[in-house]
Amino acid sequence: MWQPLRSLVGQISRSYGLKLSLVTLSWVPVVMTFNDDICYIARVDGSSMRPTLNPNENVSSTDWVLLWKFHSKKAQCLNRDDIVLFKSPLDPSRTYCKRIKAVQYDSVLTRHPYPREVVQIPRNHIWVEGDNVFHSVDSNNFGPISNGLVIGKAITVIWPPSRWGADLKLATGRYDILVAKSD
Amino acid sequence: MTTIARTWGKTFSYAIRAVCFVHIVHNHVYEFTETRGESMLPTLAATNDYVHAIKKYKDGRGCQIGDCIVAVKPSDPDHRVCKRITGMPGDIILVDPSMKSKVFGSETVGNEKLHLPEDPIGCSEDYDESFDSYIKVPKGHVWVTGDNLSHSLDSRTYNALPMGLIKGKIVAANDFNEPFWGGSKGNFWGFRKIENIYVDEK
Amino acid sequence: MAPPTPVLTREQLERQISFPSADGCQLKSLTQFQCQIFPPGSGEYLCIPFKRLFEECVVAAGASKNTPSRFEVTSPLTNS
Repeated sequence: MWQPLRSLVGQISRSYGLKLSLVTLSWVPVVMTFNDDICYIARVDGSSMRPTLNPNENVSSTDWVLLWKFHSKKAQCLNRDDIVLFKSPLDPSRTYCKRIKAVQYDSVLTRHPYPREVVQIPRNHIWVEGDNVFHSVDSNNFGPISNGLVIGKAITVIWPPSRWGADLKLATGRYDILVAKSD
Repeated sequence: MTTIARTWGKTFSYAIRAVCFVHIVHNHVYEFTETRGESMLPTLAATNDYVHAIKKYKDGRGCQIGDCIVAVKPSDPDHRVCKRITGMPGDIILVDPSMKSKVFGSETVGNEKLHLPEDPIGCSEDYDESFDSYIKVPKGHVWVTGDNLSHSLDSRTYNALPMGLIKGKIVAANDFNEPFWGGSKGNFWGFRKIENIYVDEK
Repeated sequence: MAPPTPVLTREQLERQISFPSADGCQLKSLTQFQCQIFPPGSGEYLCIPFKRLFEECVVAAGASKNTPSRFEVTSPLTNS
């Protein structure tokens, strides 16, 4: 009874192609872990971060950014003027790219349609806005967001090559919205 | 020397693949994890209760009112909470109807006597107010409360929970306070299913 | 923190929201608990159920956007 099984096992282990594919397969979780938790390349759509990202009107040019994910949910890693990608609080299947305008315990001056003029950011929350102030769905619509929704921090533009070295702090949206700083 | 290095290299390579495999399964498929705290009594015990969470329900996909979920705590991304969904996006719900129905008066501690609310109908204004404070659960959010309404930090404090923070749905639990076989909760180490508690009312 | 959500009274609600008519609705319930160590110092918990009631309604296709498909009807009488 064991004979055919043994020969089958022998055949499988001899089969180089199968071994190679198993080894490749075993590295898939490693790659996934790296992309999930350390670093990822993400495409940024839309005009809300213009002129910093996607500066041109024409649709064909879309910026791809290097997204740093490791520890990016920690309050001490989220600083004012960082660009972050996060899950939309209004629809978790969508991802937004915005700039952090205020961190926990800061007070900010809001804009329409937020119902209150000044808001204090609670613990482990951030206030996010697009650079392109008038074409942006941001914290003025959905309020401060939990750090837990942050996916990662945009470090640099890596595609297209013409945009290499683009300054991610080219424009930083509205000025003087901080009423009180936490530090 | 080289053989030792090679052995170490191989061990390391296997270890990293194994760890990442478990990590990916935990994040995307299934997780078996400990829970602590009184907030989900009597569904989950305060200590030593382990839950089976299915990650398909991440981001609230397919979650319904009455489901038990595990989510990241909005005020602290390092902590996770187990709660019951008691309101879906668009629902009109009372913020905290249980607030004023103090089953246990503070004086009970001294008297060791259980007070039931004497006459809940038509009493103080505060009482009426808790039955007249409605909220509409915002889009993309769920309202969560602990099964133990007396000891739970939940939506009543931190408002609705963004669905993006939901990590999975709890489908079953094992209570290791129970004997290995034949406990009161379930045969095998207190294994029982965690069901949806939202039911038809006759 | 969620988007700014006002807490409304029934009166204010009725001004903003058109509730569906009751005939298409099903009464649903959800029971949670209020637990406390009892008797004190014993380490045993005593849980008293607290039931919440909801009306779940079929919202007609052409209904206004402000028609909820589920609204809570828990009242002081629910748990007495």
